[in-house]
Parts: sequence; C-alpha cells; structure tokens
Amino acid sequence: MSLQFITKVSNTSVSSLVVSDIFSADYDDYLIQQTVYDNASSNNDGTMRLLDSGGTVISAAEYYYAGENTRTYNSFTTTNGVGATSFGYFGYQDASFTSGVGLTMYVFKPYDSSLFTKCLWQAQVGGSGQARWYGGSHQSAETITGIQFDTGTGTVNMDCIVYGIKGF
Amino acid sequence: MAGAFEIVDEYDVTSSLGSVILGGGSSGSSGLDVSIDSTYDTYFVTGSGVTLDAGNQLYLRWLVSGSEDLTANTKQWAQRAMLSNTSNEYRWYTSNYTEITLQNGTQAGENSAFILYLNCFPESSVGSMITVHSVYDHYGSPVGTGNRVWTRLGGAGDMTKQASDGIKIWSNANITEGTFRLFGLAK
Repeated sequence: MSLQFITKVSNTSVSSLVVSDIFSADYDDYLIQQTVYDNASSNNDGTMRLLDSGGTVISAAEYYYAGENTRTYNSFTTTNGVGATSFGYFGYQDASFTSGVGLTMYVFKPYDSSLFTKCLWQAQVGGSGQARWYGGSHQSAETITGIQFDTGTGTVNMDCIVYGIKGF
Repeated sequence: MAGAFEIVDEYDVTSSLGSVILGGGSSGSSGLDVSIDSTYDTYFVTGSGVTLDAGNQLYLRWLVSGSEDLTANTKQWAQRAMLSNTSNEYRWYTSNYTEITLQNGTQAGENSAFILYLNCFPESSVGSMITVHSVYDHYGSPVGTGNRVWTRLGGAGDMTKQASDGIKIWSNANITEGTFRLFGLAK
C-alpha cells in the first residue's frame, strides 16, 4: 500500500497545532488532511508554517504562495504572499461557529535539504463558505521535519492527519 | 485492498534527460514494462523535486500503444495560472500536449512539484482526462532573479476516442533531478 498513515494530532481551544517529526527520509512526499477547524473564539483566517530540523517553527520571511478563493457568497478573490512569514489561507472560521473543514495538502520533498519545500493545498472551509486552491514554496533550502497551523486570532478545535506517499 | 494507492511505476532522475515516461509498456523510463490499463479506473501521479538546467516549462503528452500521440489539435486544456508576483492568468490551448508548469527557475533550491489524476485512460470509447495541480519556483527576468512562486490548477483532455497506456513528461530544457511516480487507486 502506497499511502501510509503516519499520525493524527488534534487539540481543542488552541491557537496553534504543532505537528512535529512527521517528515523523514522514509518518504519523499506527503498527504495531509484536516477535518476539524471549529468552535472559533473569534473570526480568524488560519496560516501554516514549517518546522526546521530542530523542530523550531520557521518564522522568517521565506514563504511564497499564490492561489484563489472560490466563494459561495461573492466574487472569487485572488491572494498571494511574497516573502511572507507563513503560508496563508488555510482554515477559516467565524466566531462560535462549527461547520467542519475539508483540507487536503500535499507536501513535496520536505526532508531534502537541497530543495525548497513545495506545498499544494485545496480546502473547503466553513467560515462564510469558500473553497481555496493554493500552491506555495518555502524558498530556503533546508530540512523540514513538521508543520504548525496557527489561527492568527483566538482559538479553535483543530486536527491534522498525516500520510506518507510511498514508492517502491 | 480497495481504496488504497498502489505504486505502478516510478522513475528517479539522477542524470540529465529530456523526458520521463510513466507506463507505456517497454517505452517506460523505469524498464518495468508496465502500462496504464484497466487494472485501475483512476491513476494518480506525483512529480517532486523536479529541476531543469534552464528556465523552461514542463509538458505532458499522452502515449498510445507506447508511442507519443503527436496528432495535432486533439488535446484540449485549460488551467488557471496563479502567480505570487502579479495578476493571475488564464491558460488554454488546443494542441498535442498539455502544460504542467509554465516557467521553472534554475537557482539552487528551485524546483517544481505536481499531482495529476488520470481517468478513462484504458477506455477506447472515450478520451483520456487529466486534472492538474502544480507548483513551481518561477524564474525572474533574467533567469535567476526574483523570488516568486506560481501554481497551476485545471485540466486537460484527449478529445480522441482511444486508449492511452502512458504519459510522457518532458521539457525543452533538460530535467536534471526529480522523482516521478504513477499509482493506481485499487478497486
């Protein structure tokens, strides 16, 4: 079987969810799912950062991303980040709202210290109802070992499920 | 196991070459002599850590009985190009290939990655359909300047009713590194 479960991490009423030691030399690429981003203490728009080889969150201005938000309630929007301190446009939730989230993310070669780590994420988020379609590059070549989701504002209940994509 | 991803073909580029073929029988790059066939309804493809030796694009062609289908104006594709440094673009064309990326950079660390879903490939009564999502470090002008990332989302279809047994991923530059994998989604 080529899709191998690595871990599931979840927590309640948190502003961050750290998912550490998930990337290794065992896999090149990864599939990540998020199914909970609920019960927000305030309106928020989530972000994601990477963890370096020591497990420290990378907050430098090294994140580049681009994508679109296909919204149920208004025209579609285009957003991007150039030299940002995180990848943007992950979970999005209105205060005191519980609607679920469906986030699929692929992470490519994070453990290869010679490459910029690549991410593709697609999501249907609860807050106001919209889908998100993004690609991002962490433009600093280094070993990445994990990820951290942040709400930016307030707390939510969050989860993260990680699979390795295995070749021969 | 129903629903599982099963590895079918794989090629890891370790020396410079112009293209990689997944499936396609004896034409395949891996030498495994495997084809896209009715074993699976849907196939999934990953490409990661793909680097080129010059600023250029990645393309895909369909294989029919192990050979590239070069028939003009039979492949229709439309994709959204989403750009970190400027307005997003619509990309569409009718040709004998589809784009996967637009312009990959060549600075140290820069690379591209993509996922594809392949449907209807073994069926001779319909065309073969692909969905594309890719991300790549786009080069500045001149090549090697500017930090930016571009991503592509969309699809491509072979409008000819024919079975396709593989794909060829190629560039007008040389592919110097990259891991390419073909999975089947078990029934």
